[in-house]
Amino acid sequence: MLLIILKRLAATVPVLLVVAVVIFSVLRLTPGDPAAIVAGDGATVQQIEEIRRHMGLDQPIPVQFFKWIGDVLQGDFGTSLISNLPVKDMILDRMGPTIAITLYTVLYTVIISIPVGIISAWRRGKAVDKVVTAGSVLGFSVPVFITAYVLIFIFSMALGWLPVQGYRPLSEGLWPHIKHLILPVASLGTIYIALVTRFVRSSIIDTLGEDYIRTARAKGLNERSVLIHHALGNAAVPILTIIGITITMLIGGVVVTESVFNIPGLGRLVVEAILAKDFTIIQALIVLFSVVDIVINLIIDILYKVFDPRIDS
Amino acid sequence: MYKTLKVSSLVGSLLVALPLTMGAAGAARAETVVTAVMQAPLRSLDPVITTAYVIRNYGYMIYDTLLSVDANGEIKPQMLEKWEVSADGKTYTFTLRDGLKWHDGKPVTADDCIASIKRWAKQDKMGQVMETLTTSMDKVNDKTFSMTFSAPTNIVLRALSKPSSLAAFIMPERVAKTSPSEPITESIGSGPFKFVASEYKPGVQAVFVKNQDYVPRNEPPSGMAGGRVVKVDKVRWVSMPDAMTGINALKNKEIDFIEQAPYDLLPILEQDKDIQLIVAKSQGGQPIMRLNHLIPPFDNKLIRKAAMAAIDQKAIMQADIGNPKYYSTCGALFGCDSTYASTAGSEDLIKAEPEKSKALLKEGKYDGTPVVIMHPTDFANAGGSFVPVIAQQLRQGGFKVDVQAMDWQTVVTRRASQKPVAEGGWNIFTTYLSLADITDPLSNYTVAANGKGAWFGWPTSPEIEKLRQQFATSADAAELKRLATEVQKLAMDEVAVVPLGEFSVVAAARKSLKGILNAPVPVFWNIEKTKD
Repeated sequence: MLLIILKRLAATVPVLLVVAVVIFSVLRLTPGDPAAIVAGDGATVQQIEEIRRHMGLDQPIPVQFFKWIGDVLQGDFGTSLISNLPVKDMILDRMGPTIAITLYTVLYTVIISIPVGIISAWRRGKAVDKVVTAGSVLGFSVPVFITAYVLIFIFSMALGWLPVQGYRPLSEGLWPHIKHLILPVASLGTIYIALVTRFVRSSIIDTLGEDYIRTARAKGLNERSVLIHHALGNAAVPILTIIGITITMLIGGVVVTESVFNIPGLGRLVVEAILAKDFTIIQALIVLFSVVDIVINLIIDILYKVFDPRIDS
Repeated sequence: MYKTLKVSSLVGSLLVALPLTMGAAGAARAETVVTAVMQAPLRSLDPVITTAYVIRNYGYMIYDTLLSVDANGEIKPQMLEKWEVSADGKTYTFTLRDGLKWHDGKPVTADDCIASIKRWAKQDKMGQVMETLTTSMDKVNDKTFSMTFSAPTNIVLRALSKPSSLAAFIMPERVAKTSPSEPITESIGSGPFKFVASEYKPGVQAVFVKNQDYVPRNEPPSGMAGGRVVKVDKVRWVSMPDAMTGINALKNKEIDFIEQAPYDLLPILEQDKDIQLIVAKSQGGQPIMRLNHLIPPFDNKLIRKAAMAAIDQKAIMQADIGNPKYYSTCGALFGCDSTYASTAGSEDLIKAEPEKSKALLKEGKYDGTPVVIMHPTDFANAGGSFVPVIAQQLRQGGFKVDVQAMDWQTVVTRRASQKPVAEGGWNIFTTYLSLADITDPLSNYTVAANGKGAWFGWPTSPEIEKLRQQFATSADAAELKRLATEVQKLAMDEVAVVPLGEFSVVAAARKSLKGILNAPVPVFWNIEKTKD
């Protein structure tokens, strides 16, 4: 297993290199000049040129690339072109809120969608199944920001139970931390719960049609054992796949939620950096997101083997 | 096996995640904290390198200025005890008042002032004019310095007191010695607030605490002048990427102040008895249309005049602002209510005259090549909301128009191109200027007409430049007014810039905030916070 992990990790090196080259090139080939942004509306062409020179953006693109990649290999992601602060510090500063939202949303999704999906499959065609199916369609049809505004209207503006916006780290207390994340997680989770529930339902339905389920029932096992131990265990691989996809989708999906709820996470950082053409931050974040994506896929692959030993490593 | 793995992986995830979600604990909360949403997030900290308004506003929090302008437009001392002018009108001697200290406790000296003025003058357009007239700048003693000019002028007073970008903030000498193209790395000023660097998160929040050592002037506040008395312990600027969230947060008492409330959401706030709306005309702006004078067809004056004749300000302002309570039509380049307000030469501007436009196009031999308008779809006030209206007016005036949608940052980059359209150039872009930036022919950089050295659009008019030079060296109020009116006339005749009207900024605050000043720049001194 260790050898497999090492091999997979080694295979990520060329992937990351391609990502680095592509993102570096795309940023420099698309319109937008960070020097003009820093200089402001009243700057002249000459003033913008001076700032560009100071930023090192007047150098040929290959020279800029090799300097950047050399620094990254030494763990230095450079400084933000706009705020002049170390990129690494800025990313670490914004990582907490995004990890919190992602983690809580995944937990919330798994806790709700797996039992609901199982029940829906077990009661296939019955009223409960129809309600779950309709709810799922509604869940992933309504955009996150609509759900967010509705929840804010009900729980913040009308009832006054929860704050409209903002983020508090755990260090400021568990309740302030949770209180500020309930609505964001509920809004973001709706779409993923809908997605995973449908996936769990269809996987379980497929599994329930297998011969070994019939055998299990024939030998007198109760429905709970059949569903949990036989059906769910065998449906685990596709469910894991969708959970893995959910986590990677969350990295992109969190942008809207962070904006609506004013949460200073990585999603907002990447949007702000793109709008401000802050090349060094965008490059670092894309590489980071690629690494996260690769690691999540690796973990899911390992879990496949754990849940289904027949899978060839 | 699975259970063990599942439990251990969950615990592992939490162990990794929890420390990362635990940010630094905030410092002990001050007694009165004003939480404000500014018009843009603060992302850099050098008010001399950039003209961005939020950084100017940051400058007023932590730095001080030698002079300032009061509500009547009169120049008043701020850091200065006094200034004296020599009999020949060429030498100004400035004396600092007692008690001025940097935030690190060291005294403010004449050397700091000289270094700050030198760095600022390299960047600021009015400062650059002042620099060409300056023959020497000398320290007399620790509290006194002098500036001598090649001709009698009061440009130094006008330049050092102007409220907006770039305001002449005074910094410690070691900081001010940084090259003007390189951002400064320290946030130490002598102003009424201190910047809390440890709580600064670019794009998220900036925190300022009351500078206990600041000695305000005794005069009552008026415009940007008078005593800058801080009445709260802490001011927190937070960014709010979603406008509706900002409005909800204000109603829900989570924030106290929104610098620029969106016009379309004002009806929601108007109904809330706990919220006050502050219509700040002096913080308002002038949307403008800029033509590229270097390339066809707008290298032809007749075709520029045709474009101006096609414009109807009211329709544009209606699209931009929507509520006539908050906008006006006006052709005054230096602001409709300013000292140098004049509408000379703007007769064609207020109402569209498509037939006149067509006649001018015919006379100018317009060949029907489409004019490219850059449309910043992500920035409403800079044209996102009104470029389609301009395009339609130009079409009705006989132009062929190619509206190209793009983000604002692309406009900012592309407008610097002096090349033909086919090689990435442009014909028209729009933006807006703060009224505080356009009060006279020197600070309003859109009327500079020194060709490729001028602002994007690059108009050329030696007559305008001569008048601007005379404006720089004159000190007589009546003569200054005459010169400004002449510049207005010529700039309109050359169509150096097309003003599209004026709008007011509407700030929203909870009624628990008292003493908000109606100054040209949003300032936080004089504000008190009472129980909500």
